[in-house]
Formats: sequence, C-alpha cells, structure tokens
Amino acid sequence: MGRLIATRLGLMVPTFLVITALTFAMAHLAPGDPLLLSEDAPASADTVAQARTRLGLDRPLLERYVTWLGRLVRGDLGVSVVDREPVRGKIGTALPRTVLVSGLALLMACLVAVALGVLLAARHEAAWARLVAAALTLASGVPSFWVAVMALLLFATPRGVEWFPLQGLEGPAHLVLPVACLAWPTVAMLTRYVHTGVRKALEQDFVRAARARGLSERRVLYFHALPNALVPLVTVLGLHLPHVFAGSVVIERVFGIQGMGLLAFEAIGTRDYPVVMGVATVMAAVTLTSMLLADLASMAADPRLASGARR
Amino acid sequence: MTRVAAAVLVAWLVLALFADLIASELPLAVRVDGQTWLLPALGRPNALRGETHATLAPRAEWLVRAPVPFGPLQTVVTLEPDRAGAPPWGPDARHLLGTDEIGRDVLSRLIHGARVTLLVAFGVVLLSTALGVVLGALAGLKGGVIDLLISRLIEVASTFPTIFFLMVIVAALRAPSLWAVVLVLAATRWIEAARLMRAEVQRLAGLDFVQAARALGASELHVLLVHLVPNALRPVGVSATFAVGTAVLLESGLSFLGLSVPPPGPTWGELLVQAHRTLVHPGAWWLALFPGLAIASVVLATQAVGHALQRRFDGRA
Repeated sequence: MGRLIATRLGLMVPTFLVITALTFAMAHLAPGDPLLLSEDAPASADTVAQARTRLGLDRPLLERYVTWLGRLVRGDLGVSVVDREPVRGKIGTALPRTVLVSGLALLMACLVAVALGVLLAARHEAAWARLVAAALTLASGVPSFWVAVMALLLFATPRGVEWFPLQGLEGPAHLVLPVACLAWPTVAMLTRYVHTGVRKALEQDFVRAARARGLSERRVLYFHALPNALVPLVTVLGLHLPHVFAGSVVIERVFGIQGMGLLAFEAIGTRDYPVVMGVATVMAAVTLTSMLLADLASMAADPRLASGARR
Repeated sequence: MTRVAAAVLVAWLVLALFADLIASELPLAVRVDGQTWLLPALGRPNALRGETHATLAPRAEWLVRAPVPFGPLQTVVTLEPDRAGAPPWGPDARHLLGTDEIGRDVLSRLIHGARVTLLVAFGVVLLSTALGVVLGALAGLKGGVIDLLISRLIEVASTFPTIFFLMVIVAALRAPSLWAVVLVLAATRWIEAARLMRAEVQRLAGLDFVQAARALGASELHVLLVHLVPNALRPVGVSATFAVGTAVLLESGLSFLGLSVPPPGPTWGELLVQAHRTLVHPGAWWLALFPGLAIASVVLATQAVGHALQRRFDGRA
C-alpha cells in the first residue's frame, strides 16, 4: 500500500511538470504584452525595456520556467504584473470562495444523487421513476450557464420573484443559486451512476443471499446493494472533481463571484502571466490530488485493488 | 424518438446551411428599378447595398420575402416607429422570438448562430476523431514506449479541465477565427476516440483473422487500414456522435465567456451573454429562453441518435 502510494506520487511529478510547462509556454508565447496592457503603462520604450529586465521577461523561456519552478518550491508564486500584488494573496482570497461554492455543490450533488439513485433503482418500475430518469437525461443536455441565467431571471429579477440577490457572494442567500446551478450537471451524471450501480447490485447473488436470509428489503438496499454501488462512484467522483472546479469559471462569471475562475479569466485577458501560472498550478494540484484521492479511496473501498490484483 | 431526434438535427443543419437565405434583410427574389435579382443574399450585389425588405418593398414591382425578413446584424428600431418604448421587444407576429436590446431579430440571430455552432461542433468532432484514431491506433499497435507515452497523455488530458486550457489558448489567439476555434477544441477532444481506438486495436490484433493476415505477409499498414480501422470504427462512431453534443456545449460555453468566434457574428453562447447582460432590463425572458432551448435541442438530439446507434451495434455484436 505504502509503496503504491509512493509510486503514484512519483508519477505525479512529471505530470505536474508537463501541465505547468505547457501552460507556461502558452501563456508566454501568447501575443500581447502585460506592460503595454497595464493601465499605468510606462511611456517610453526605455522604461518598458527596464521593466522587462527587472521582471526577467527578457530571459529565454526555459530559463524563466526554471526560475519560476525554483520560486514555486519555496512557496513564492511571484507578483502580479498588472497591479504588483503578490499572487499568493490574490489566490488566497479567491480560492476559499471557489472551494466554498464548488465544495457545497459537490456535497449537494452527492447527497441528491445517492438518494435519488437509490430511490429510482428501488422503484424502477413505477411510472414516475421512469419520468424522473428521463428528466435526468434531459438535464444532462442543458448547459449549466443557461440554467444559471434562467434561474437569475426567475428568482432574482422583478419579472419573477426576487428571492435571491443578483450578483456577488456576501451571505448565505448569495450561495443558493450558484451552488444549485453548479451541482446541476453533477447531479444528472452521478444519479445515473448510482441508479445503474444499485440496479446491477440488486441482481447479484449476494443480494439474493441476503434476501434469502430474510433481511428486510430496506436493509438489503441500504446495507448490501448501495455500498457495492458506491465503490465505482468514488473513482468517478475523484475524476469529476476538477470538472466541477472548471464549471465554476462560467458560474462565477454569471453570478459575479470573485473566485478562481474570474481571477483566471481576468488574468488571461490582461496577460498577467504570474497570476495565470498561479491559477494553473492550483488547478494542476487539484487535478492530481483528486486523481490520487480517487485511487486511494477505491483501494480503501476495494482491498483487491491495493494488493495489485487488477493492476 | 430517434426519428424525432434525427429530424431535429437535420432541421438545424438545413437552417445552418441556408441561414443566409432563410434569415436575411434581403428578399429571396426582387424586381426593382427594372432589374431582377435572384437570391441577392448570396451574392450581395453592390446595387442592393444597404437595402432591406423595408426599403425595397415600396419601390419593387414584385418581391419574394425571405422566411425571416431580417438580417442577423440589422437593427429594426428605425423601421418600426409605431412601437412604444425602447427595445428589447417581446415576441410578436413580426418578431416571433422578439428582439434584443439594440433591436436585432432574435430568430434571425439564432439561425445564423446555428451555422457557427454546428460548423464548429462537426468540425471539431471530425478532426478530433481523426486525431484520436491515429494516436489510438499507434498506441495499440506499436506498444512499448509509444503506448506508455500516449496512455499517460490520455490520462492527464482526460482529467485536466479542458475549459481552463481553452481559455489560455483562445485568449492567446486574441481574436480567434472560426477555424482556429475548431483546431483548438479538436486538440482537446481527441481523448475518447484515442482511448477507444487503442482498446479496440489491442483487442482485434490478437484475433485470428488479423494473425492470418499477418501470416499471409500483409504489411503493418495494410493490417491497420484494411483490418483494424474498419472494425474499430463502430465504437468510435458512437462516441463521435455523443461528442457532437459535447462540442456544442463546449463551444457555447466558450462563446459565453467571450472566447469563441468574435462578434458581431452571432453564436448561441453569445446570445446567452446578451441575455445575461439584459437581466438589468428585467423580464426579457425571450433572450435567455430560446438560445438555451436551441442548444439543449441539439445536444439532446445527438444524444438520442448516439444511444440509438449504440443499441443497434450492441444488438449485432
């Protein structure tokens, strides 16, 4: 087990390097110059050249990447080219917001998906269950940003009901719509997994054995079928986590939440390389960590994997 | 169900292909100033520059209206002085889906938006599937280091959130053209096809008929093109069908962020941006409702067709 984790961690290093190097190259090779785009742009070509030397922008790309990596190891993400604020501070204020919104969305989605999935599997012959299953298929084809705009239209403007605020993230009421909209596609996807997982489990021998022992149908469902259906779900969830994070880019824009998504969006617009790289690093870390967590969780859930039986 | 879905897709394709004729400020045919013009919306003759249905109608001897007699960029504010208040105007007999906040016909913009969205979606799927097939076949057939590299690439690329990568690349292009968007999206969407192709090639390569072909002295290329690719195309084809829907969602997401084909040409995502902006004009619900329905209809239709293909292939296998 320990060795397996060590191997996984070792494999993460080159992956991390590839992701950050690619982003670094793309961000820096992009046309446009942060010094000319910033508002207090230095007037003369001379000052621009000086600023370029000071910021190290005149060095070769590889050298700059290595310098950046060296600073990263020491926990230094650099300073924004646009407003000279430390990148760590910017991410420090943006990250909690995104984590709050996407964390709540993920939690909500899991709860709803498990409850709904089990219910649908247990009652799969009922007409309403089929209707809900069909509705979930429909839901997966509907973009979440449209849902977000429609939700604002219905619940946050005088045309509908003004239950929720239109923009920002100041109180609990501000969270309702963004969380619901971000959870939407995840609910649609996860419920289908739970549904089919539980239904498959219900057809297997161990469930028949449990029923034969005279256990109640409810006990069979929640203590025998559901845990087995949840094992693959853990992996799915781990691999899906970065996508929830990514989905928050659009959601943050719709709801005006100053999180990682908006930070990245604005930094890309102003060619603020250090900020772009900071966000990319966090995204890469989130991606790799959730991959690792997915592996570990499925090992914990299914000891056969840890012994290397399937690898 | 499948028929309805296929019909929806075909309808959108027709609308997209003939958008210039179906929704245009120029009529389908007109006789004016002693000259007859057929389908002027295609050639855009200089003599009719700046003309619209409204300016031509009083002077023309006869005129065949376009089904939607407004161009996607034409503002109708000056044409309709009888209306109270400033746009956006709600749906009525003249503008079936209403107008936006500067008085452009939503239906016309939706039809022209279909062109961009569908062109991008189909272009992306064709290109990314081709790329995936090549990479997947290479990995499955060659094995060894090549397989290891491509497999790692697939693993990383499938978990790293695409939209973030896309934001960086598209922003790097500044004002991306339609084909640049297609290229960039395709560069991130080849994973599924590659994964399937790799698995299929590995499965097929061990089968007797491939061994037999090898024993008969068939070259590697012959085996690949004649025996492996055609047999692996079914699962790849099914996944490509689903990929059209995903590409539509991705393109509209990008254009919602303002990172796709730049304005003034309409895209569905950009129409939704307008809806978002006009939330301050409370209640312009038609701006948000119809583009969303259009996106959903295409995505759901491709999913239905994909499921139907899947069932058919599974039944035969």
